[in-house]
Amino acid sequence: MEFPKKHVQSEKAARRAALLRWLVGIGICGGAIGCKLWYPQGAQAMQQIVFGRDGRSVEAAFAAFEDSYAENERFSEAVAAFCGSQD
Amino acid sequence: MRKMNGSARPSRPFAGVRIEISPAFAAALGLAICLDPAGLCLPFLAAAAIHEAGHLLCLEICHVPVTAFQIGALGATLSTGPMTGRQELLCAAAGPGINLLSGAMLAGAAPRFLLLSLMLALFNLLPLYPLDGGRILRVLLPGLADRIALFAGAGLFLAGAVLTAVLHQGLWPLLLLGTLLAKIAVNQIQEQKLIANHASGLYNKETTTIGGTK
Repeated sequence: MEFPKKHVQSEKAARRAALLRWLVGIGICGGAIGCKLWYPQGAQAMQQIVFGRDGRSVEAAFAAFEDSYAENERFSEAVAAFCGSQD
Repeated sequence: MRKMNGSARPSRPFAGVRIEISPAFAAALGLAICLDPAGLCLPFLAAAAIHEAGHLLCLEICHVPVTAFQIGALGATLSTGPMTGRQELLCAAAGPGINLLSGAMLAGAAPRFLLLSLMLALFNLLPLYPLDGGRILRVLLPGLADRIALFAGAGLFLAGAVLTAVLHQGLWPLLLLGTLLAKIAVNQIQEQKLIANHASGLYNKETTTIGGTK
């Protein structure tokens, strides 16, 4: 059975576009992981841009939540500690 | 063999499900590993997997066939067969519900997982359509759902702008909102295409109904 030429061409174009999308996706993924492994200053700069203040506030907030929850196991107080440590 | 809507279901659960992983997921995963500020990536992925497992379990219990499972930058989408309003309500609520349950069960051992599960459940309960909250709202208040979504979207945009510009919390609120709004736009386009196909007689009820549980 023969497919029309136009159909085969559009199929090829779709495959090429999918391949390109995967190359870009894997490129970003590999670049990000490579940056974290071999260029930590760059990863830290990106963290600063995305999370603000080095990403430390996020880490501090989660640590405050864990400490508060471990101390008294009251969820509302732990959430208050999480929110309070954001600033 | 169980039957649904008069047609035979696959005998094995989830057999014949098309699984698609988007290149955007690979990119998002790499960026998440790179930017992870506090070792949140793995517990978050676990919470997301449990969320989707909750949807799948409920779909199986409700005898709704799953046709595709797509993993993208902003989570997974399940394409399903036709659902009644009650089934849709239950299946949409199952994801956030199982997040809260699993978070509460593991709270003592992993408080960080509890907080991430809670955040994931709350995010998914936002009243914006491809998200679970939007699906629930469409079933409960079909006439008001779009209007509520509009106000919720505007409110979220304002909150994101305040977090980024006033409180200097970085770009993550805008990145998250941008991805979410892009997903909503793509969803709207797909819906319009389905409606157009339906109008022109190309719509096949058995195969093209999109459930799309986030």
